[in-house]
Amino acid sequence: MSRNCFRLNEPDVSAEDFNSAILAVNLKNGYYHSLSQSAVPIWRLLMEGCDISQIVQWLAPIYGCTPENLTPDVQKFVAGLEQAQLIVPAAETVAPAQAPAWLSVLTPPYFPPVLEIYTDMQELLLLDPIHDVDVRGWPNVPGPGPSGP
Amino acid sequence: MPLYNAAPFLAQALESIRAQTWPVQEVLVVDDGSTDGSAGIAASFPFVTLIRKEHSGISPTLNRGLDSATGDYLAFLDADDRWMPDKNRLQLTALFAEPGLDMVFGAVRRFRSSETEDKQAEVPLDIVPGLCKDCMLIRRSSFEKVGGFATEAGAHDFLDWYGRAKEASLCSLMLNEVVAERRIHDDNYGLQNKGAQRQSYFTTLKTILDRKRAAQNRTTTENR
Repeated sequence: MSRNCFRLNEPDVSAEDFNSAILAVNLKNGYYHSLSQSAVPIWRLLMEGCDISQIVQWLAPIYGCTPENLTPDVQKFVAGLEQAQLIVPAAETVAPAQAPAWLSVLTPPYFPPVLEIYTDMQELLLLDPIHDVDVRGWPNVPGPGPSGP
Repeated sequence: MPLYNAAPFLAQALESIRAQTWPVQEVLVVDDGSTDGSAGIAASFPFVTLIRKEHSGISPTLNRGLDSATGDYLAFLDADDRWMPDKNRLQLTALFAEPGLDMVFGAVRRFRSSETEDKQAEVPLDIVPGLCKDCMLIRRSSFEKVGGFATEAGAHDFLDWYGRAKEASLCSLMLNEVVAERRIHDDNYGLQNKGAQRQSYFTTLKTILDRKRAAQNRTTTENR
């Protein structure tokens, strides 16, 4: 049976996991996004190759929800991630065989997942300010090493 | 001008300051412990006031220069980049014309570096809005509303500073004219493979977000 899976919309989007929050930057439009609470495990499970049904199957008992109640929230949230171009459909992925250990630290209460969108740094993020910093510091002349393309 | 091991490019940067059609009154070069002779190159320019310090990173170096600066207007130039001759004239004219304006930026021409001083070997990349220190000219009084550069921001000192400038509601103008030329060293044009720089970038962005939320919470509490 085919599964609707997603992946991070790289290289346009980059994301960082801060344990209690996910921060994602869309370098194409300069928006940055924050995910917290239930949005975090949903995001992580998506990145690990789970589809919506798998996500609901694992999260519903943790949050004390029924799959019937949780599924619409997760579907709406995933649709929002796709609309924000943070994720794109992925080819068939290998789903985790069992629930990741980190799920065990999640506890109720459950709050519907929310995708926060911030546009105030758009002008600066569109310029991708990281690219001109050498790995050894600032501003530094790269020494002899593997040559680029 | 914060300086750290930029010997191949420094003379070009300083010449671009000398070539300003609106002469710069004070040029402070703060050397962050260069080991390639950069400090000597800077010292050979008579209009440069050279400040030397132990290596501690870009933000402390910038702030050290700010501590010594005496002018009413502040501008910055990285040691491997160049200003266009009319940069400061255009930006000062804009500030004089509009008292409510805090800072002025301009377009930046980015180019792939040849890693030598040979301009013929440079590869033009693009011209984009220069939302960066190189392209900024700001009233000192406005800068002081925001404060200096944050050491914890690492290489993303301007990202953090600009976030605070937005929080302080500073008013800015972006000129269409190209005011600076910015050297891109690394072949990797993006966020994906940057290790510590990437982590620093996201940490800085999270700090901006946390400050924003804290400010909103304060406003909510005050309005009750």
